[in-house]
Amino acid sequence: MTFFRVLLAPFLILIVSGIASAQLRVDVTRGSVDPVPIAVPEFAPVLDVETSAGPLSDIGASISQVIVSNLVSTGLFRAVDENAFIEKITAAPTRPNFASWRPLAVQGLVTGRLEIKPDGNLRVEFRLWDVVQEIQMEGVGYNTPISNWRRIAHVISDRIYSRLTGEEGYFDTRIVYIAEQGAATDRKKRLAIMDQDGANQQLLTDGSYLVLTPRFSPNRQEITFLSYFNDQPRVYLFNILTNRFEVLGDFPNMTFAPRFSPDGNKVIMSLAEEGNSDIYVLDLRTRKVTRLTDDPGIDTSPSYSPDGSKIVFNSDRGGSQQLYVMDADGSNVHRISFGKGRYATPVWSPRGDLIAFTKIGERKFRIGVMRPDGRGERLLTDAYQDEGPTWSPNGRVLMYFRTTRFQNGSGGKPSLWSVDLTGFNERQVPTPFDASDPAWSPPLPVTTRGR
Amino acid sequence: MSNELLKNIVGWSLSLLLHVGVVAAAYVGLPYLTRPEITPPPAIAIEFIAISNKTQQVAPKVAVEEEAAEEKPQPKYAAAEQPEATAPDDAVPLPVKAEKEKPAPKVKPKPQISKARKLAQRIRPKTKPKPPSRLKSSRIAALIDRSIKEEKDDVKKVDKKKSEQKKNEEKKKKPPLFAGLAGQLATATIVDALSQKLDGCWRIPPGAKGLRNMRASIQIWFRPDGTLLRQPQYVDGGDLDDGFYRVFVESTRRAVITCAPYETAAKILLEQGENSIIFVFDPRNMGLGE
Repeated sequence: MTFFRVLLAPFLILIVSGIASAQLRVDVTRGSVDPVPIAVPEFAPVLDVETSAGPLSDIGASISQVIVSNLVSTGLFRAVDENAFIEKITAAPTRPNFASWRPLAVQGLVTGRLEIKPDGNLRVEFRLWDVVQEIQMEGVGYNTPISNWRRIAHVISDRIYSRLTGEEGYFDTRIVYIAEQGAATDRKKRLAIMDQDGANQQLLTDGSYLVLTPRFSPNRQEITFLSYFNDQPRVYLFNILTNRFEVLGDFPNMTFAPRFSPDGNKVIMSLAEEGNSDIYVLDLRTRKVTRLTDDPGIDTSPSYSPDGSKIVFNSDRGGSQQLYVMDADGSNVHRISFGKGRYATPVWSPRGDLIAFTKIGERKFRIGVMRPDGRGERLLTDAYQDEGPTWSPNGRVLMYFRTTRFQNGSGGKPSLWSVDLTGFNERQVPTPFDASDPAWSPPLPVTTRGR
Repeated sequence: MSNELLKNIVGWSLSLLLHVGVVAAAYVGLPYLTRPEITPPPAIAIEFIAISNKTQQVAPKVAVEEEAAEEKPQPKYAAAEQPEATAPDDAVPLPVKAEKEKPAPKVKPKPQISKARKLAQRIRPKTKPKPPSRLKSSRIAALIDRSIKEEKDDVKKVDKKKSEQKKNEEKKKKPPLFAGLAGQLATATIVDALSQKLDGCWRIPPGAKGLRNMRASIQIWFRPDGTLLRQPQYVDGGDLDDGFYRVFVESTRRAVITCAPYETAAKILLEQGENSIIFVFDPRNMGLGE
């Protein structure tokens, strides 16, 4: 034994002394992925006055509630109960007493103050504090009409989310969807729009004609959708800010699933001709239509990659409905889905790293994602019928509609749901009517006042 | 015919007997023709010990010379001033304290020793009677030779003892072979302990793109009590202009602040002349989706 020690000792000494002579380094390879605890006390009014939207103190409380609701809905943050707060945040421009927040394990503290400016506008200032490092991470002020307080809460939520996660926020966005009412045999389908959290619901069409597949422009507040006006399929363009409808084109045959290109200058769709459906692209500036696929199979549901260089679509050219990717000019078509079942409604993520789809199989419709090369397929939901995914602008969350079967088995009740990219934090989005076919808007422009 | 048969039987029997004899002789005798096999030494049983990923070595207790804490002079508090009492006119003066009479110095009484005891103390005890001398004039020469031999032996013994003592002292003076190693292993244990501690303090930023490939090094400096001497510093890793990466680095800084103080690490590392640690945050093996 001594012999071995004598032999081993020099080696060990050499190795360990080599380590010791360097700076001590400790590898940390594990951590917690629990939601980050945050505290958002009510925004304090400099002077509590009565406004057109109620007392200023009530607006301050509502703003903090909207921020909490937004952040918690992501599943990434946990709000600390306000009853546990030790320090009362006032409108005075002072640093918070961090020692009062540390026992609550708070990592991010949001403080805010609001006042009415001489011009009648509301000024909202917020600061995001890192309680652990005792530093201010963010501090921004906004001037806006008082009626816009809710939107300011969303904008602040975006700033906080972005600062704490590194990703762009998606709270100051809207959802356009199909609001459904009436019996299964006499269903009224109207175009509707709401804030991403379900607030500010508005109906955009009166229900006298059928509306289908609304899609947002990726960079403008415009929606393209398909409508059967006088039983004639038409692709429309609707500008939310100006409330203007525009007919993109009368297509004599069946038209499906129009969707914008990333630069917003083109609309890609599938047109059916003599029973065969292929992919076409419409240039919005020249109104020129170009055919991209020419195959006896049914090609439909095209979606551009964020850089506009590729298109994903589904086709049954191989015998069953599968996902295919091609170059933007229609060349280099190759299949990417090879799993069991059928694949439909592919949508390329705004990040470009994933493609969401509806997978049909095992008597279910489920939402899943895969990489653009077809690898890494993951199913995110597991219900009877989930379909029609749409990405949040930051590519972090998917919204889709879920159809719950009626008891008698005929038809079902559709509603909007969202799920995190990880497959967790599945939530129902509140809507006043049955809702289907959602489409997520890009972030609203912050400099634009009013709606 | 019968004779031939008999001859054959006898022949076969003899042949069989002969063959059996040859086989028996070969079986019994052949092993002794070869050299006896050298039996291998008994196998030494070696236990393979599964070494866990985390070292279980307990840090040896380091003898710390406690410095005699300087006795700080006690703060002198100003004695509360007593309000001067003004004696009322009819006050009776306090009695004057009577001077104490000094007691006469006590004379220690000398112990009184009885005459008989004195007498006994005077009498000295007699020494033991010496045994009769073994010295014989006839054996003087032999005795001288023997004493010389014994003296030489004694010198040898003393020399041997001295050399052994010297060896022992040298052994004591030399640090044991693995003493330094134990210290280093203690450091390794600290590394494990710190790693585990930080695991509990680090909240990984949720959903950051490319998190799987991120890595950040944060250096901390500590005081002897383990508290942070100054703000943790980002050492190297990646581009802080990248929003995702900046959030990642911030999460690591929060982790090292949350985990402070580092008492044990400070105690051991300060003895080795170190007052800082670099934490390398690496979530690659966490199985994160992105």
